[in-house]
Amino acid sequence: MTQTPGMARSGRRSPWGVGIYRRPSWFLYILPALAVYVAFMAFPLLSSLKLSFYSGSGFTLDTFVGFDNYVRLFADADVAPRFWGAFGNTWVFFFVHMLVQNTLGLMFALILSDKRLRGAGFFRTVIFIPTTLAIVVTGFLWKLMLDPNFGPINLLLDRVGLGALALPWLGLEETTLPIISLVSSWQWVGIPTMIFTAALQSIPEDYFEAAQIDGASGWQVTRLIKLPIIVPMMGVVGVLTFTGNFNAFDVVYSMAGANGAPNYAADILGTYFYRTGIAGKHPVGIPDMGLGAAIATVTFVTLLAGVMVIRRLTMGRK
Amino acid sequence: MKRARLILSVAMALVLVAGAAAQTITVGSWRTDDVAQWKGLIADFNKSYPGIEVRFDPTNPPDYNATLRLQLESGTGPDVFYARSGDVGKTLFKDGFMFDLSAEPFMSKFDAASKFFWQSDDGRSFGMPLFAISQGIYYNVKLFRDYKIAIPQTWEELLAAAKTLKSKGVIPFANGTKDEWDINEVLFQTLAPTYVGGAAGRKALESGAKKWNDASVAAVFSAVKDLSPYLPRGYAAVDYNSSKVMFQLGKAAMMFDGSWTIPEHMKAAGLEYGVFAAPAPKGMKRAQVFHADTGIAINPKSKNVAAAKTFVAWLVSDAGIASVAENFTGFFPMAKASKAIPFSNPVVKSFLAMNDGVETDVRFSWTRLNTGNPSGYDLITANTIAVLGGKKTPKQAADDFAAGLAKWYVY
Repeated sequence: MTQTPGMARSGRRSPWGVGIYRRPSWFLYILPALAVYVAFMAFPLLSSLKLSFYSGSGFTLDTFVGFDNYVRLFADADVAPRFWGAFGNTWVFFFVHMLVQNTLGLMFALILSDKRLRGAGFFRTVIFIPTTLAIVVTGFLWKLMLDPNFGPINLLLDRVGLGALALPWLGLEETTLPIISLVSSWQWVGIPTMIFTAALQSIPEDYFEAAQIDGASGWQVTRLIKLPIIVPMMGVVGVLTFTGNFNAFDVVYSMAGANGAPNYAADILGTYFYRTGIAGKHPVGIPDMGLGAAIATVTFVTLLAGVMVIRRLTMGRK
Repeated sequence: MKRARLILSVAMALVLVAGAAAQTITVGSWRTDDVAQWKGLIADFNKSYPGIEVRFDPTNPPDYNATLRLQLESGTGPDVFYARSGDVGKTLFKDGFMFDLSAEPFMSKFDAASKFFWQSDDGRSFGMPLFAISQGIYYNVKLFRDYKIAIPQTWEELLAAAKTLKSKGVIPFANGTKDEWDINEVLFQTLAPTYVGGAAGRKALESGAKKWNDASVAAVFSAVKDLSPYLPRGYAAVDYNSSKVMFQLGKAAMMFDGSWTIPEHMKAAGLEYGVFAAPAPKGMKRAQVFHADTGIAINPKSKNVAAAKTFVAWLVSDAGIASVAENFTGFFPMAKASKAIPFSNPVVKSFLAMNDGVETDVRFSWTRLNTGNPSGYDLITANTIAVLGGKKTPKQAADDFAAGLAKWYVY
């Protein structure tokens, strides 16, 4: 997974036979990084994996239960609906980000990288500002904006005669998750914008001059030169969005609480994991850590599979 | 200048040494809002016991139970800590994380009914009752005066008052459902004792003498439904804090809430407010929630058990009770002697007056229903919201409540 495609192709000849690998001292160079990786990444990951096969009271998990936690997660009549609900909601959350955040990011980048645009720096700053704010702050601000009685959004709708559309946005099962996804997209749109802008600016000027001589239109330049060149960057943005969304927690927590209210409509894997594995359910508040570890493992496997698919789709091309 | 700094640092070092020499106990709590109150209490305590330093160390409320459990299991728990009543407390005691207080002399200062909620099934005490809380309906005195509304004595009068207020463009009740816990704890559980028939009615349900979808349970949901036209516009997106703000700004005339909110309302400029009991329908006897909320337990692994006991015993001494009553507005000390405290805050007095001549009980779901899957607590929340939104009839809500409990509840 960490191999680059180039290495994979040259892999037929054993990498152990070349250069530095012949001397055993190469191992010393990766030792510090390896030690940090094992201590802070691999070990917690594996012990969490192990926890998912255990059960017990409170924080002492001492009973080996095999796949029982997974069976409950996928099939128990009271547990499974919560898990599948959160799983499905996370996909919705992800697709809204892909559709809104990344499409807008690409459009902004195309506009910002156009040399004819004046004040590009100003617009870039404006687009990037929300990214620098804490989610707790943006979540709170948007909650105020969306307040059903005193929020500016509903007041505006009332003022222009669209009072019927002044909904309790964060109180309806149908609107809560899309709204929260949009708020999150609004906050993070600066990241794809920045990545795409950087990629577009690195395209050599010669290509555009050649295209100009051949009489290509603006749209043709975009479609046939700019977009194909930044496809690998789309992969990077896709991977970042995917991992970010499947690990997301804070924006839902700040706008819909730990339950993803109302009626779990905005519950995503992050909040479900928090409720199950860390805080426990109100008012009892004792976590089920084995089940929580099972959720974490499923999230990890989903992430691994998803990242591999996205990379295959976007990195394979030359 | 240099010398002053030197003297200062020497003085500070001396203070530190003195502090380390004295006994220190930490108090774990779920009340991050009560830091100032505890400061006052600790100052009073230190007047009698200057040698014991008390540190109040609260945890973010939703994380309290889990954090406390983790601390206790890893041996880093506080010496003295807030104890939940009922099931949650019992579990910690069973697992050996609470000192058995049954034989302690200070326990004799409570009557059996108060002690009950911090006792194991075999009658051993794991927590000393510290506070009870009360719940009712806050109202805006000025709005009631302006629209000539008298304090409702029956449920019918309450609905009539709400109707009048709504016709004047005032939001009758500020409550919403976005945060979920409040619609359960301060609305449903405020109404429940009256309709199920107080503690006796609750016990009849718990023992199986009555079914969980009994007409009395459906009646609570039916009362909830009565209120639905009188909640704020878009109440589904109104959270607990917005509700309080709406009430404090005078946009809403009433709010179901608990006595713990008094200090916040006291700070609201220009708010003239009072409180009355949620009235019973005509011909029905009212029962009042007086919830055994906070107990105090001692960590058996504490290095300062003696100091911890001294502190806990002081809390129910005459000086301690007076200090609790003075510092913790909206929380009611539970010792027998506390009945004689002359409270000065009029709203506190109104809350206590609600208990006069009626039966009181803890919150309906707190004794047996908060554990289990699905918990009775979650079933109440979901069905209360469903009834308010018109997605279920009160009868269907009661049936769903009973069906959920049938999955795990053992009589």
